[in-house]
Amino acid sequence: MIDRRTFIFGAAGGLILGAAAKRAGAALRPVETRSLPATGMAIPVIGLGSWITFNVGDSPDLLRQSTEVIRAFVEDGGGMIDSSPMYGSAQATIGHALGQLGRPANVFHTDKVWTSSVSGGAAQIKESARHWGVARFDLLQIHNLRAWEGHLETLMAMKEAGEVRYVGITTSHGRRHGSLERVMREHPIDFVQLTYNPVDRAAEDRLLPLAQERGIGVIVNRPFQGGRLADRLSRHALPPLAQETGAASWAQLILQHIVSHPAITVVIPATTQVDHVRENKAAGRLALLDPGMRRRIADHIRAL
Amino acid sequence: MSEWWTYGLSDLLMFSPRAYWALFEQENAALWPLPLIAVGLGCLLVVLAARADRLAAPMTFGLIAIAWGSVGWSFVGQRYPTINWAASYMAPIFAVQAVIAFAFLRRAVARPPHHTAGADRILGIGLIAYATLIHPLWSVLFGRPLGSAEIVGIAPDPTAIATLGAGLAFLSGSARWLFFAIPLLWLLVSAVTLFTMGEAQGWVPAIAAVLAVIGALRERDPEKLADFSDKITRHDR
Repeated sequence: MIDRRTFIFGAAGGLILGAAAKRAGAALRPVETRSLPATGMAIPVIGLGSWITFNVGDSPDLLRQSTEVIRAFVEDGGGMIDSSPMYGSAQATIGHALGQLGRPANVFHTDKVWTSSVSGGAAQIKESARHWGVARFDLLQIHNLRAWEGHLETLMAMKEAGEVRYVGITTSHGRRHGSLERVMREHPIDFVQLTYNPVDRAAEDRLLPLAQERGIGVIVNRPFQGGRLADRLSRHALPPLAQETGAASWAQLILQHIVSHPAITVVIPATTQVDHVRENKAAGRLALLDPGMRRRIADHIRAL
Repeated sequence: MSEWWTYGLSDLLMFSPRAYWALFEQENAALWPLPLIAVGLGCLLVVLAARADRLAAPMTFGLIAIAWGSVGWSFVGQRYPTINWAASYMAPIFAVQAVIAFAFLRRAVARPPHHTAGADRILGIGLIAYATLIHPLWSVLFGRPLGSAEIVGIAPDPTAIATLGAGLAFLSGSARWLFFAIPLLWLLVSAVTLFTMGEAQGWVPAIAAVLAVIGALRERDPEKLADFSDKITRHDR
């Protein structure tokens, strides 16, 4: 659990980043951070998802590989790691890795409540915290708006009691945006999590402007459409406009496009590979794009 | 999950091929040397199906019952749920198949079944032999460690395939379809899972299931066969 935020993502993050940079033989500028609207706390724009990638069961080899992925993430500034009780053993994998890494202070512990039983929500959160090996979460979200009215009451009460710092609600695949908008308008949530990338841009119409207006942090899931977008684009050469943005790969171009939207707080790509973590983190060091360039990228990808 | 029907299968798949195949490696290592014994018992199933003597059917159904019970309890009930929480709901189905096989054991002891004859019996023996001796090799052929081999009586797919083979070798009519229902269901689930993961091995359970169904559909009623045989014998006189 982390409380000294400025230290964590400032001095400590800088020290860890310095070590990573030294290994890489280059001076790295820190990954872009965004201030959480609710408190002003800064968090790196590149986080880490866990859907599928960290659901590795009890396999010692895969647990070791997952630990290395999280080690690379933490060494490169850390930030939000997101999971859910729905993700199989992902929570336990993260907990295992964080334990192996000595409970790094620069992790923003993010999880969800995912049960149709409102009364069972608190017990599920307790079980999730046990898997993670934390006393409390930084952010708890209601997964896919499931039984959201009841869970929101529970989470707000937990926040009031200091048992969680932030409260949010999630959707994915562009679903239930109407319901999400209603929650954003009517309830004092801190975060909303949704799908957004150069292809899936439905959130741009109402949700992202609303998040900015209401001071709600936005977490982006499925930046690569669960790998499908990345696979599709890998068949095409990186366009010349990437030279203008500085992106060295399709993944970086996509992430750069996403985090350049001013409403976005953090994007959470999931990966099983250390190289991909570093590549993703490096995208957070690229210059932010203006709306014109973002439009060109989206148009180019859509035309492929 | 709301609006679940609008999700594609790949959206619902919650694990990767590497995590899935690692399960078999872990299971074999945890149960060692049971996988080796299981291969031996699979070979015994082949011999029993080929001999088709009085003890063959009861012993086959007994081994099949034990296999479904152990696979359901260990792999499907304990190992698979570490990456797929839905698997724990499938474990009771394996227990049901174990009970069905046990019921056929009791029936075979009380009233030895007509052993099937012809192509479907040969297909049945072939499926058992495939499940025991060939199926484990897919792990190596697809570039995975030998330790992750799927063994009959340890892993669900070869167990289901061997069960279909036993059904073709020893059962006929509605009894055969009763015996087939759960293995066919499992192989369908397995094929869909593997295809959704992008694994070409999905063709294996799919083809095994289709072969078994074809074998069962072209079955001839043993009593009609007996009548036919009598007619031929009379004609010869």
